[in-house]
Amino acid sequence: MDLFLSLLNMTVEASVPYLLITIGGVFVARAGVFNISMEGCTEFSAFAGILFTFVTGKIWVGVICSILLALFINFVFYIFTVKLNGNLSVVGTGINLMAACIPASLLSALFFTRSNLIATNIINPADMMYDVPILRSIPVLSDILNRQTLITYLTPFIVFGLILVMYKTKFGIYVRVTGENPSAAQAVGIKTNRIKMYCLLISAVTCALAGLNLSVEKLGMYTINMSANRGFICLSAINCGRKEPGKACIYALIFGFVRALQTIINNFVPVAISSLLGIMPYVAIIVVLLIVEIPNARKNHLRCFRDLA
Amino acid sequence: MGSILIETRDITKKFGDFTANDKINIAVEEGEIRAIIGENGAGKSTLMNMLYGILKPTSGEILFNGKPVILDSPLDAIKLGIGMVHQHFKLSPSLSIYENIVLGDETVKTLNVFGKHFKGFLVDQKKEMAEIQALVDKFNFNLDITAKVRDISIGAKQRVEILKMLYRNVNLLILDEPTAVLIPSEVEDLIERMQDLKKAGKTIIIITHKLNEVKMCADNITVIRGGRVIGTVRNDESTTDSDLAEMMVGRPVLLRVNKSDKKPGDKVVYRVSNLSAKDSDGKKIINDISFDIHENEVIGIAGVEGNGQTDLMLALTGLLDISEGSVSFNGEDITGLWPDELRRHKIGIVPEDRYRQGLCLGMPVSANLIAGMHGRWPFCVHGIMQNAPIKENKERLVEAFDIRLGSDDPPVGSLSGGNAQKVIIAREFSKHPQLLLVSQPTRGVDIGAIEFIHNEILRMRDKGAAILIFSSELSEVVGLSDKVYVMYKGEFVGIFKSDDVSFNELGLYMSGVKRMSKEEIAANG
Amino acid sequence: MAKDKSVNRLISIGNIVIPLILAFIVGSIFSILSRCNPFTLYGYIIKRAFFSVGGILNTLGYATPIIMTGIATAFSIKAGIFNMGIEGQVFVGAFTSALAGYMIKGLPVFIHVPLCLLIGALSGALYALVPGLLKAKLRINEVVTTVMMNSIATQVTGFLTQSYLSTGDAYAHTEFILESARLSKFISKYRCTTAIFIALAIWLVIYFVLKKTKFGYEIECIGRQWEFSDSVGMRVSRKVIIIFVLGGLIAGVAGATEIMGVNYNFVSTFSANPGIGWDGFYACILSASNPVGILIYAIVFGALRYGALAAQTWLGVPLDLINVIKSTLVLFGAIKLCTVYSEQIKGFFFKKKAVKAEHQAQEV
Repeated sequence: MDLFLSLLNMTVEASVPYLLITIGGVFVARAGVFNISMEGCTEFSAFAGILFTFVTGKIWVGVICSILLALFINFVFYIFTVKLNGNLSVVGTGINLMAACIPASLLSALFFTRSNLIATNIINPADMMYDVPILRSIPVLSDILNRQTLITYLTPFIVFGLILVMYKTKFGIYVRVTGENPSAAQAVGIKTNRIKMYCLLISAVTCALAGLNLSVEKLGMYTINMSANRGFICLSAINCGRKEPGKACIYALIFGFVRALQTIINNFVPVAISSLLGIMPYVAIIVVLLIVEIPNARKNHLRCFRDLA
Repeated sequence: MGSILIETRDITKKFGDFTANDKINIAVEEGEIRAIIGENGAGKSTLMNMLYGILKPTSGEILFNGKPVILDSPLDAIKLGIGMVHQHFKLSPSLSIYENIVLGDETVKTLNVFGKHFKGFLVDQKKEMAEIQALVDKFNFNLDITAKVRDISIGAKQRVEILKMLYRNVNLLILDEPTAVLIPSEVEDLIERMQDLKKAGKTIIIITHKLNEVKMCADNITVIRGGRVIGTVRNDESTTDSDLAEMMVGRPVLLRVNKSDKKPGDKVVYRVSNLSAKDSDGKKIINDISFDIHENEVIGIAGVEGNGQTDLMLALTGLLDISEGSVSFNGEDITGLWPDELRRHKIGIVPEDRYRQGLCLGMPVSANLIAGMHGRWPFCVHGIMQNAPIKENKERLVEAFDIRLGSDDPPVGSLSGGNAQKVIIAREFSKHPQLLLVSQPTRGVDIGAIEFIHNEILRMRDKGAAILIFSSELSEVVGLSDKVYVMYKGEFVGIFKSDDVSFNELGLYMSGVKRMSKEEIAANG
Repeated sequence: MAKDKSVNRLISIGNIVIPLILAFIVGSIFSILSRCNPFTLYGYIIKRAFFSVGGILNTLGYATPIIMTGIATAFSIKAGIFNMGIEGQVFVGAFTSALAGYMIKGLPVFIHVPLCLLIGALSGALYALVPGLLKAKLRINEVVTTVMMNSIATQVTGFLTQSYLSTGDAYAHTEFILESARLSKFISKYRCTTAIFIALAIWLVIYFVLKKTKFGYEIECIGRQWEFSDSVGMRVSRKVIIIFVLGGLIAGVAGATEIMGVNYNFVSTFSANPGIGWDGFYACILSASNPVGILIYAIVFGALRYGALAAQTWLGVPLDLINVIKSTLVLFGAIKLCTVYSEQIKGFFFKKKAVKAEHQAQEV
C-alpha cells in the first residue's frame, strides 16, 4: 500500500513538467505550428534558472531570467519560422542543438566543469516542498499530494485555466481558427501571425516553468541534458491527444506515470539493470502511439499518403 | 436610383511586369445590383480584392460615398461597410455557424465588480446566439445556428458567409463567383435573397462568368477583358447572351460544344459493377454504383459537390479502397489495382485537384510531362532517366497541345491555370488511352483553353476512347457526354440522355427531390 | 537578364556566407568567454586540421563517417521526411559489427571485413525499418519516433556493454575485435582508414541515384508533393519504407567502419557530442541535401572536430564550442536571409543600374 501511495506521489511529481510542456504546446500545435524546440526551450530554462540563481544568489532572479530566456527563445523561433519562412523542423533542430551545447560550453568556460552546476548552497530542495495544512489533515491525499513544490500546486490551475482559455475565450477561438483555416481568420481581420506568436509565448512560459520545476525546485542543481527528451515526449502526447488540450494532458499523465514507475522499480533492481530502465518512457511512447494509431489506420481507406501532422 | 456609393478612378494594379488592372473606372449606385463579368484571368478578382482592401492599387483611387478612401486591410473595408463573400469560403469547419458569423467580433461577458462594469475574458455565447438567431430570422435565411459548419451544405455555407457580412452591417456586398458551386434551385434561392437585400437597401456587386444568371439578377453589367473595362450595359432585352460573350472574349464564341454524330460502339470498354467504398467512420461514401462505358462514348457524372464524386474518382483511380463490387477494363478485372498498375493499362487519368494531384508544382514542365510514365521506355532505361527523350517528349507535346511557356522549361507552378491543365491533358491524352477518367477538366481555366480542352476530349471520343467525366459545371457535363448520371449522397439517382434533358430537371435530381429507382437506372444505363 | 542571374547567384552565396559569419561571431564570443583569443583558436584549428599530412588524415578520418551519415540523411530530407534517427542506427550498426568482429572467429580478412560491414548495415536497416513502418503504415510522425529510438538504441547498447558483454574493466567496453575484422589505416598514428573509400563509393552511388535514376526522380517528386506522387502511381508509403531502410543501411555501415577502423571495440561514447549521426544530419540540412555540399560540410565538420579536440588539449578551449558554432550555422542557415530580402537586394542593384543609365544618358 505504501508503495502504491508513493507511486502515486511520484506520478504527481513526475507529471508536472509533462503537463506543463504539453498544455503550452497544445496552443502552438493548434495554431498550426509544428514546434520541436520545446525540448531546447525546457533545457535552456532549467539551465538559466540555476545559473542566475547561482550567480546572483537569489532564486527569484533565476526564475525571472529563466522565463525571460524562454520567451526570447520562442520569440526567435517565431521570427525565424513565421516571419522569415525558415523550415520549422530545421529551426527547431537548431535550437535543440544549441540547448545541448551552450549550457555545456558555458559551464566549462565559467566553472570548469561540463556536467553540472550545483546551487544547493542557495536552494535547499527540502525547503521548496510546501506543507499544506488542509492536505495534511486528509489521510490518503496527504501522502499523495502534500509536500509538493509550488509549481506542482500551480500546475492544475494552469492546465484548467488554459483549457478554459482554449474553449471559452476569444483568444482560444482565434487560435483554433488560425490552425484550421488561416484564411478564414485573416478574412475577418484576425492577425494570424500574432496569434501564433502569443501561442509560442504561452508555450515558452510553460516550458520555463517545467524547466524550473526540474532544476530549481526538485534538485537545486542543473545537470546536462536535464530535460531528457521531455519536449519530444510531450509532442507525441499532443499528437496522441489529437491536439485537444484535455486529451493531450491525459497522455501527459500516462507518460508521467511511466516515469514514476521507472523511478520506483529502480529501487528494487541492480544498478546495471536500472540503466536499462531508462528506456521505459521511450518504449511507453511507442506503445501508446501504436495503441492510438492502429485503430485509426484500420479505419482509413484512403490509399494516398497524406501528411496528417 | 440613389447616389453613387463606390467609384474607382483610373485604378491600376501591377504584379511585377504584369498589369492585372489597367486604369479601371467603374461607378456603382446605391441600391443597385451590379454584375461584373469577364473571363478567368480578366482581372475581376484583382479589382474586387482592391475594393476589399486585400490588395493595394499601384495607382488610382477608390471613392466611397464620394470620399477618397485608403483600404489597408479587409477590416478597413468592413468598417466602411464593404463586405465580400469569397468564392472559396473562409469558414472554420469545426466551429458552429454562429461562432463563424461572429468570428473576430465576439461579445464578451462583462464583469460586475462593486457596481463597476469591466470587460471580461469569457465569450458570452448565449447573447451571441440570440443575436444571430434574430439576424437569421430577419432575413429569413433558414439555418440552424448551432450546427457545425463542416456538416452543412454548400448553399448553407454561402448563406453563412453572407450573414457574416450582414452581421457587420455592410452596405455594399461583393459576391465573388457565388453560383459556381450551387445547384440550380440554390441559385434561384440566392437570387431571391439578393433581391431581398436590395429591397433592404443594400448594394450588391456580383462577379461571375455565367451569363444566364447575370441576366436573371443584375441591373447593370460591366464587362472586363484583359484588365480593362470594355463597357457597361443596362440589363434589358436588347442585350443578348451572345453579345455579352463576344464582349468578354473579344471574338464570337460558340456557347455550345460541337459534338460529332458518331454513335457509341457496342464494345464495352469499362464496366463498373456494384461499387461501394467506405470512409473512416465505416459509412458508405459510394453506394452500389454500376455503369458501363462503350467505345466512342462519353459518360458524364453530375452532382452537387460533396456527394461522392470525389470519392468515386479516387476509388476508380486506385486511391481509395473498394469495399464491394468490381471494375473491369476490356474484360480484364482491374478491381483494387494501385495507380501505378492502372497506368500500365491504356488508361488516362485527369485528377480533380490539378495543383495537388495532377502536377508537381516545383518541377519543370518536362518532368511533369513524363510523370506516371517515368519508369518506362524511352524515358527510363534500366532505372536510369534518359534526358534526350524526356526533352524531345516535352517539345513535341508543348507544340501539339499549344502549351505556352515563358521560358524553355519553367516549373509548372509558374504557368496559368489553362496552360497547367493542358500539361495534364497532354500527358494523359498522348499515350493513346482507350479509357479516360477525367475530373473537373476546365475548372479555373480561361475560355480559350476550355474550347481547346473540350475539343480534345471529343476528338479522343471520336478516335474510339471511352471517357468518364466528372464536372460541377452542368453545361459542361451535359454538353460533352452522351449520357449523364446524377449522383446524390454517394448513389446514382438518375440517368439521362444528354440531348433531351433540362438543367432544371437535373437540378431536381441533384438536390435529391426526385430520384429514379435502381431498376429504372439499370434499364436506361 | 545576365545581371539578374548574377544577383541570384550572389543571393545564394549570401545565404551560405551570412550564417558562417554569424556562426564565427558567436563562436568568438564563447571563445573569449573561455579566455582564448578567437583568432588564435581558428588559426590553430585550421593549422592543425589542414597543414600537415597527419592533420589532413585525421580530418578525413573524422569526416569519413559524417560523409556516410550525411548522405544517409539526404535521402529522407529530399523526400520531405525528417528522419532524425540516423544516430540510433549508427549505434546499432556499430554494436552488431563489434559483436561480429570478435564473436565470429577463424575467417580470413576478405570475408570477415565485408561480413561485419554487412551485419552492421543490415542491423542499421532493420532498426530504421521500425520508424519507417510506423510512418508509412500508421502515419506516425517520424520526428518523435526516431528521437525516441535514438535514446533506446544508446541506452540498450550501453546496458549490454555494461552487463553481459562487459570485460570487467573499469570502463565499460566490449572485447576487441579480431585482427581479421579490422580496416587498415594509411598511417597507423592517424585516424583515416580505408573506410574513406567505402564512404566515397557510397557517396558516388547515391549521388548518381539521386541525380540520374528513376528512384531519384521519385524522391524529388515525393519531397515536393505527396499527393501528386501517389496519384501518378509512385506508391509513396512503400517508398517511405525504402527511404528509411536505405538510410539505416548506410548509417549502419558508418557505425561499423568507426568500430572496425578506429575504435576496435564498442564503447558507448564512440559517437558522442553530438554524435556522427547528428553531424551528418547537420551537414545535410546545411547543404540542403546537395551531395556535393554534404561532402564539403563533412570535411569541414571533420576538421572542426579534430581541430577542436586538439584545441581542447593545447589551448584549453571546451570541445562544445564547435557545437555552438554548428548550432548557430543550422539556426541561421534555416532562414536564408538573402532570399527573404531578395527583392530589396535586387532593388538595390537595379536602382544603381538605373541611376547609372540616367547618368550615361545625361552625358550623351
